[in-house]
Amino acid sequence: MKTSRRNFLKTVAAAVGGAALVKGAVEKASTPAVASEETTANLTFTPKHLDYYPPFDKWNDWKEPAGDVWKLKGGALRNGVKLINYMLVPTVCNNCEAACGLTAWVDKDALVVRKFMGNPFHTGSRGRNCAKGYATQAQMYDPDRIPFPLKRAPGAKRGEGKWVRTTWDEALETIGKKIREALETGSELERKMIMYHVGRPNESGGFTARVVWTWGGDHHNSHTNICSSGGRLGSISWTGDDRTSPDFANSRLIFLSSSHAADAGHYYQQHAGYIADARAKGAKLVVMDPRLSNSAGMADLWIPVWPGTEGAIFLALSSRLLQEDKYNRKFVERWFNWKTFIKDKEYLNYLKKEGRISKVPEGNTFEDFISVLKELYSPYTFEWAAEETRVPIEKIEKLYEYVLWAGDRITSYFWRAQAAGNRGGWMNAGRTGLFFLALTGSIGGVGGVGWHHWHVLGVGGKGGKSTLADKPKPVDDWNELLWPPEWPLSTYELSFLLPHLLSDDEWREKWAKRGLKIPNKLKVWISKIYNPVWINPDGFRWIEVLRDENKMELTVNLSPTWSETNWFVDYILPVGLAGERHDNQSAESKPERWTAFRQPVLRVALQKMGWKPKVPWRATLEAHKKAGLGEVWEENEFWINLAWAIDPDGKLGIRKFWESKKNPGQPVTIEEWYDAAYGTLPNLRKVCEKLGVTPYEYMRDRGAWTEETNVYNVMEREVPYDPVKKAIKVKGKWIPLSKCEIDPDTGAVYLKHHGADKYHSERHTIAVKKDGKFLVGFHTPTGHLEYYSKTFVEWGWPEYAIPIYPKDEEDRRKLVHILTHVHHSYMTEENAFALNPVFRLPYNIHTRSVNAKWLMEISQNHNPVWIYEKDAERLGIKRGDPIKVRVVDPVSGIETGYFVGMAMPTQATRPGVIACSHHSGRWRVKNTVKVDGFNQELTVLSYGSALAEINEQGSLKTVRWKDGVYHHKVKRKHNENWLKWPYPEVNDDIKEVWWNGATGVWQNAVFPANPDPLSGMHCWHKKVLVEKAGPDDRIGDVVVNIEATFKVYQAWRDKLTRPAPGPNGLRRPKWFPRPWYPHTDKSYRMPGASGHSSHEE
Amino acid sequence: MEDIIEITQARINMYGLLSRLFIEEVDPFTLAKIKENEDLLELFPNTREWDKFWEKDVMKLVEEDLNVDFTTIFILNVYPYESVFVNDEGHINPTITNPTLIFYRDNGYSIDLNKTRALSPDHIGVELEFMMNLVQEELNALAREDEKEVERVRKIQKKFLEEHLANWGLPYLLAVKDIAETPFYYDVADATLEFLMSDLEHISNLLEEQTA
Repeated sequence: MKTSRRNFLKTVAAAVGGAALVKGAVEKASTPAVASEETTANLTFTPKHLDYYPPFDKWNDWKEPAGDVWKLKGGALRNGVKLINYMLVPTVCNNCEAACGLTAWVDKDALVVRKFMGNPFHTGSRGRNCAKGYATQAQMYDPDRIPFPLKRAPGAKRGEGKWVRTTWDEALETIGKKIREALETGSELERKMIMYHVGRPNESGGFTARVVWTWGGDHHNSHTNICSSGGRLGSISWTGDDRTSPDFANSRLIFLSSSHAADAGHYYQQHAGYIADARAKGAKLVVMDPRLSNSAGMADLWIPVWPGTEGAIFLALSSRLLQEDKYNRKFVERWFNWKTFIKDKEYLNYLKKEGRISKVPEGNTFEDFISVLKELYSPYTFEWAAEETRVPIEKIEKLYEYVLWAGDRITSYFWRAQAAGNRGGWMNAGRTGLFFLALTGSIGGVGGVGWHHWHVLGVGGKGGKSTLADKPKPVDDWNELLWPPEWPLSTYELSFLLPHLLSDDEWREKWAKRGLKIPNKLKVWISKIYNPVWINPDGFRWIEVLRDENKMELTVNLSPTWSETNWFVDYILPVGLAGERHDNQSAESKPERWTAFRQPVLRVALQKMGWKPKVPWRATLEAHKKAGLGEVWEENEFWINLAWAIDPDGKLGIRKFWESKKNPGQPVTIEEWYDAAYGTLPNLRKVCEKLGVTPYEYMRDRGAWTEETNVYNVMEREVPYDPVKKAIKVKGKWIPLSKCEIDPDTGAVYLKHHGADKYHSERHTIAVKKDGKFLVGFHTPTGHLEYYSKTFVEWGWPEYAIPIYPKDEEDRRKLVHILTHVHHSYMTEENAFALNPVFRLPYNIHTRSVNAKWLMEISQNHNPVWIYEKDAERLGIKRGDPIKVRVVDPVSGIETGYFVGMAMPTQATRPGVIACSHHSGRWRVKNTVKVDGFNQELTVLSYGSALAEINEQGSLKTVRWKDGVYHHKVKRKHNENWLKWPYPEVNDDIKEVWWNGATGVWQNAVFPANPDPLSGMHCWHKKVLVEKAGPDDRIGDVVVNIEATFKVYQAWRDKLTRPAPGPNGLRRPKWFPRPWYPHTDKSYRMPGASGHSSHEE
Repeated sequence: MEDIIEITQARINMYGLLSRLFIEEVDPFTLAKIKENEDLLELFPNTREWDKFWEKDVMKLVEEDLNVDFTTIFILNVYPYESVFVNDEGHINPTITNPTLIFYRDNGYSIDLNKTRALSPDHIGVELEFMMNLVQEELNALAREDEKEVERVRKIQKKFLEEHLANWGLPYLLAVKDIAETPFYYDVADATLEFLMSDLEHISNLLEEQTA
């Protein structure tokens, strides 16, 4: 039909009254954009974009129908649709280190959080979250939550699973008394027996560090050395800063040495977004990873490198840039510490003696420096790198093309991946990787790599103005259980060795003879959100020590959930999740300084609705009881209350640090503390003055603040200089130059003390003098990027003072400390493989996702053992076959045990390398726990773990999965009316649980502790022998001999390390300061040691 | 002037009739109206040639042929919702984030779905009815000789056609033509298609004239 418009009109004009025919669904509203209908009148927004958030002025009172209304009613605008009265309370995700913003949508009528969404005020996460963020609601109302403090039943042994209900007050009193008794003795040894051990810190600016610091000793342990100390050392040795802060969004080449972009790297969701932004602008993405990860799958180029050989690629690229004079001369000349290197003829002679250079140049010019580098790195050709890394040379050539094209806008990130997987990971990641990046000049500027401390903005520990005393004194103690002398250059505590050190009498006696006081037990071990039994290597060694009441007298875990570790402690104290606790947190996820506020959202909502706590310093606990969540507390208030429990009368000098200045005699409140802490930010203060709110109120209402944007090239910033005072201003203090020395070669300005002119290890650099000006520079002894770290020479590691990689078989023997322990040269058996267990699953995070049913659902069946299909074919292994993976240590030759996994032959892992993430395989030994004092059984890890049968015969331990998910109805059977637990009204969907939960295997138990000799990092990758499982083997089986694992730990310690003391009797370089809180100079000196040590090689 | 008023009234009628034909199954009353009106039948050329249309009992025609075809087209095959049609995953969006709903609300209209069986405010029948309302506003303004208002309302019509009804509607109606098994629904789709195209042209011309 070709009817013209005229025809239409002619025909229809007279035909029918259209208005009479229609249904009349469209109605004119009384005023534009405001509905007149009863059902719609309260709907207050009309979003124009997908990223719409309710306007801030409506956050306290926002109405919206539930998300599933249309299913029930057939559309949002039907009659009878109930609108929920929301209050939006900002908080911060607690599921990984990225600290993305969240808003909790609190149903004001039911006092229930209905959902968590993003926070548009958070400039890092930009209102977005990953699956883990949204799953916070599932975690909050997890039916397996622990609703009140639990205590091991009197007379029961640890691990028997017998519990009684206790109170926070009883726990505070018991723990406080035990700590008090130790501290009252005034003995250093006793102080060392009090240990705090953090798993997931998720705070910035050191609130908890200050807590532990105020106890007065060396108490603070961490999880870091199973995580990132390998990543950190590579970065620290270059800059004094422990990690890069890449400007991904403006980068031209994103060269990831990990599966960072689309999987679950550090700062996952935020970084992934910036990487996507850059690619939208034309950037190239290259992923170097033995596995075809999600990131590698979407990259422009995948470099399927042999694990631990990444340094060969970095040095080959560096060598080519040097040989072709395509390095960034301007940058290298200005910021490398080349003068220190070229003038150190002794070191150059050492390199000559080692055969790395043929002659020592006489001159000290930049050209001389470059000519040395050209020779040093000339063996690292692309051909050599292709052979060493098993990567086709065309791929390296392609990568080089991208490098030249990208100029000084190249970014990378060195954290876990190869840095955490391999012996020498620190060298093969940051140390060689940053050499390559620095040669291109991609340091500090737009599209390049900045540094953590330029961008991170933590103030959590800076609320001291609200208390009677601000900062404690630096501590005098040095706890060898945290920092054994064998690892002086480790960036963090040797935390995963704690049970080994406590078990190793021989080791303790050896050092006791040299005057060190090392305790043989702990009186109090308090951990926070930490599950070492499951997540650390050699988990059965942890179980042994945790069970031993002579080694660990009182053990406490501040933990929101059940865990394998909790099963073996004395107290499980249920602390809050993302929306149930106070923390300040920031992350250097982009070149700006943002900071965010995690809050107990129900408490905030209640307070805004007019509720007042009876005891202001316990408001969070009271609010959670009021809202029916449970006797769930938070750490901030717990610690403040504990300080009073330890030091009720103030005699120990602890109480004053937690006593309110506003109300002396009373503990400081959260409002007072964070008002002071956020009040330290000058730009925030200005905005608050304008708005007429306090800094606390600003953060409470908006959840995030960005103090400074576009933070680039901080090293070039001028340090204020007063020519009259002859002083420079550093961190707010004027420091007279008379107290400083200036390095004649580099201009580094450092404090005079202990021969800092002679020993770089003693230096504390505060500025660098360049072109007559004082600049910020880098926090290294030379104030520059340390291509050459003299510190390593001073500690007896001259071979690693520069970026280096073993170039041949002879080198592999000489440089064994940085040769990966899964190097292909170790794969001598036909069925030998390198096992890569270290990658994260995007929707799981270590041990903190099993309490989210939604995350468990999407991670089912995702953790087989990836094996290259030709390798599988060769060994007769088919898809779904159970395979036995035997763990063999190449240093000692000892086999520690095996696990049985499910094979998945694939082209997505390189030949010779198998992969199985160690982020699944959780277990429980009982489905339910009966607790004295409560008439409903508690369920344990129902939806994300397997029921395990554990057998122990002396040092031989075995695990077998007996069952998967524990299906049960979520019902309230108890008779405590105030308590909503186990939250049946928000767990309707639990009946949909279809999965088994017993996928994955507890690999970590079979892994011996493998401490890197320099960084102290546990080296996660393993050499394994793979075979088809026998008829009696089952997927999930674990068999391990913990005598064997112990011997492996000893071999790594004794064969590979070079212990302290270093120069001047130092326990570690002064410019590698102890993390958490300051230690006195005295504590850094090893008793009885002076001058140079004789290193044991 | 009279001409434009007539045209505008005709457009109201057209939008109203089409809305009715899409929103639910045709009823004997409406069908009789079409059958009895020679002018109207011009819009249904294939139907006019369809033997059953004339020979079969109206009730039977509706129940045995037309309702079956209506179900085949709109319930089983090509769902008449903008969100379904433009969304890659084919999900209906009945929530208040539906962009069509936002458009209605921005321009002072609310939707009462209780009056229809539609699941979502972006049903083609609701969108046609919305256009009918806008044209009615235009007619009211014309009667008041409020030129500014006329222009404003025409701009909204143009925007709505461009962003919504004519944007997804045209390919959608082609799909309906493809699926239709009776000449009647083939004609309904074809007439709507032609009308929307011509109406967009009509509004554009008027706006050009007005601004010229």
